[in-house]
Amino acid sequence: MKKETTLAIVFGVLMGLIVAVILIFILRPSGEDRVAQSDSVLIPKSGEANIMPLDISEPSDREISLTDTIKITGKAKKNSLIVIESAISEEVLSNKEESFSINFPLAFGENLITIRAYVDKTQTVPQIKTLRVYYLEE
Amino acid sequence: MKIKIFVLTLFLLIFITASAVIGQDSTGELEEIQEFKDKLASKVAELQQNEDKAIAGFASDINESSLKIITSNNEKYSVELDDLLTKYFSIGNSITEKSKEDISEDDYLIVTGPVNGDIISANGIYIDTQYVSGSGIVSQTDQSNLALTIITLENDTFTIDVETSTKKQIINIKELKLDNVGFSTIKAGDVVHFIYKKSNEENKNNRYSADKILVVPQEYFSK
Repeated sequence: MKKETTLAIVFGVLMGLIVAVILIFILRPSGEDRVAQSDSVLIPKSGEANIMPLDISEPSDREISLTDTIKITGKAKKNSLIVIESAISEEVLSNKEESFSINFPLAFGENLITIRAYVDKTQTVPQIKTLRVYYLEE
Repeated sequence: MKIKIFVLTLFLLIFITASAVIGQDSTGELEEIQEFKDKLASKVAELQQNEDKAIAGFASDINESSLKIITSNNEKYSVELDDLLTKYFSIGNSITEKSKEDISEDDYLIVTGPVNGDIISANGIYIDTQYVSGSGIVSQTDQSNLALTIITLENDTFTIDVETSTKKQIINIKELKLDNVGFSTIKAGDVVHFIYKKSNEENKNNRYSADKILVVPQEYFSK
């Protein structure tokens, strides 16, 4: 083998090794970078995340009431259609402000109260909160 | 809780006895004692109310001094029964006092009393009815059997029988009030909220008889 040929082979192998090292250790992202990239892909970027969730501040779930009426207080996106239902009663309202409050009757025993807020007229899926309130006169 | 009541009661008795022995029988002091007794009784009642919780579930494993209940979230509680303290009631059109013997397996019970972990020391047990609510979009209306096929948010399919006794209402979207509605007015595409009584028996067909339905007309969403 000619000396030039041997030098060319050695030079080619060295160049290959240098390119491999650059690709593997310099251009390839680190493990942390890849985790960060993967996280950024998994985070939903939906506009829905900005919609105020339905929040009921009172009563609390499993609350015991000694009277036959309770006050339901909460917050929802303005101008939502709010429907409050139990086995014995139902109320419909639209909240001009985020906060809303309404007196709601109770039957003796367990009252399953479901509060649904339709926050958007293009969306048939409501935000839902379900409470069990016990009217137990003692 | 019982210990607190016992200690407070004991303290009250000692206080009254001591007052009697010392012979402080002036009117002013008697009034003070009465005021103290009232405050103490009020505090005991307040403590009892604050510590009592209500847990509801279906009854099982009923024996002399305890039973178990399983809640709708599949939580299991052991209920301790006391011959003197535990009172039993049934809730129907009116509330009636019952005895422990009136409780059967699979009865839906509301148990009140202090809760320690998964153990409830029962002060009161009420036999009641469990209601379940749901909602979804009507996919089919069966005019001959007066039944609605409803697809829920979770993609479950329910068949809801609308009986003559079922309370049927629709939201008047112009006036935001509830109007009564006939079955024939309900259309595929409407949103329906429903409430039915649940028994502990397994229902594989997801078919229930509705106590009430409330329709949100599809026109509300297409405005």
